[in-house]
Amino acid sequence: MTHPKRTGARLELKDVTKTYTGHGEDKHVLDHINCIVEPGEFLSIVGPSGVGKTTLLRLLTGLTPVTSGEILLDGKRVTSPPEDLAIVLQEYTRSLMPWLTVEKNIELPLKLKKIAKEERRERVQSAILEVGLEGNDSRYPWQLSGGMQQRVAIARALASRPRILVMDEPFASVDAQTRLDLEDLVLKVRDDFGITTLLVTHDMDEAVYLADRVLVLTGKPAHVAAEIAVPLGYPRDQVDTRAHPDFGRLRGEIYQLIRGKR
Amino acid sequence: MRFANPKNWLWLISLGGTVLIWQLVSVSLNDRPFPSVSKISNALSEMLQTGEFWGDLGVTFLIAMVGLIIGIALAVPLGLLVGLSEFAFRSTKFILDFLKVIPPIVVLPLVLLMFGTTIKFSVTLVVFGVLFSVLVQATYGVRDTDPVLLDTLSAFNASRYARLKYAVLPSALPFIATGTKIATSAAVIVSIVTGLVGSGPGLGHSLSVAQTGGNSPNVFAYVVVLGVVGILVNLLVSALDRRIIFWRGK
Repeated sequence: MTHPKRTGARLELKDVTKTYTGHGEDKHVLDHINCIVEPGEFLSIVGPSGVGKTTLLRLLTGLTPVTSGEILLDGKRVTSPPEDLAIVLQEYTRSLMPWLTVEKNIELPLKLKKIAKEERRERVQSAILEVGLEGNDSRYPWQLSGGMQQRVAIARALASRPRILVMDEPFASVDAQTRLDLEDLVLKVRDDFGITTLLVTHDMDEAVYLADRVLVLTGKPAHVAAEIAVPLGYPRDQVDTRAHPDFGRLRGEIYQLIRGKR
Repeated sequence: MRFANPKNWLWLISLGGTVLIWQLVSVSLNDRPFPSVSKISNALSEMLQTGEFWGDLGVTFLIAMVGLIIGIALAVPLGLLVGLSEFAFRSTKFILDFLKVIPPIVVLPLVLLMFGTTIKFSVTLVVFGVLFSVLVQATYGVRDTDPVLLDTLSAFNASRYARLKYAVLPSALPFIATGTKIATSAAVIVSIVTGLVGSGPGLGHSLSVAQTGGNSPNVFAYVVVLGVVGILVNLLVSALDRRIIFWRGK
């Protein structure tokens, strides 16, 4: 299988601030978040639970508007879900449609984009191969294990050929072994396609293991506590990388940041 | 294999036992207050050979089905509309809940005055009995659509129409099916009641004639027929539900 190498998108957050109004008193969630993600870069966003990671993600995907500041994707301001962006959410059981087969689930976004049938079929098949779901085309999501369902969600994201992939705690609901497999799958995908990848997680190990750079959010309202480069190089290995002294050091650094400012 | 397990044919034993006890009690009491099983089955087999019976059965069934179809055809689009709008849902909730609990028999005299003892009267009453349970279920189905699913579709730039087609409708379908299951039983019952109480056409009317004539074996024979019809309709609807809503509970 050859993959057309694509260039990832460049993402820029400029003074992004979010305040939820209504429902009683205003809730200031995100405070002047600044960050640049270069094309093809893998960025992890970590922070304690409830810090506003998911809110940030909703802003990135254009599902919720920013209160002030701006989000630029390749220089274009994000106001609605961008064409080049695809998402993978934690709740695969809720984001996949139980009445559609694996194949139809993956095909749906392509249908929405009015892509011709022949090309849809081709893209679905290559996405299925990419995530290792061969032979499951006509099964329903609920006939698959959690890990396989999340593979379907990843395949669905890939089929639309995004230039930026955004994942919200994608491995939080699968067992430990599956989790490691899916982590390596995501690295392979990034490598194959060169797409910019954003991972929102509360797992510091995972954040370090996968990323070029880790963005640490803390506080209420959340601000950027640190941007930490991960100089571990690729490819990464579940045993060697995690045993590397730098891995432990970075993990400890992030732990301090999160614990210290809770 | 299924018959190897006693659980699967226990119902047959209890049915046989009930029939046997009925027969014994009835014979020992000289057919009072209820006729013996043998008399009922004689009346039943005679009845099954008359064209009149099958005509009545057909009419009762037709009334139930036509009323059911009209009721669902009205209830589903209305229910979807009401469910889609928070304003419509809130403003109609009380009225719908109120109408839902009014038994069709209460409005029977009114409809009878409007249409007389015609098929129109019977069908209208069935529609009334069906409409609100399906409508309310459809609104709940729409409102039960998973927000994660809607967000997922939105992130893929789905239009409002696409979200309706790919998320809201399929999410509402199991609810509509449940409403339809309840409504189907109601449709059959109301169809019989229109004949029994309102002298509309069909089996209910024949039952009421048998009762007035003091023909108690015939009355019981009709009861048996109606019971069997009810069970068959329920089995049919459940089977359809399992086929169409194959993802239910997944």
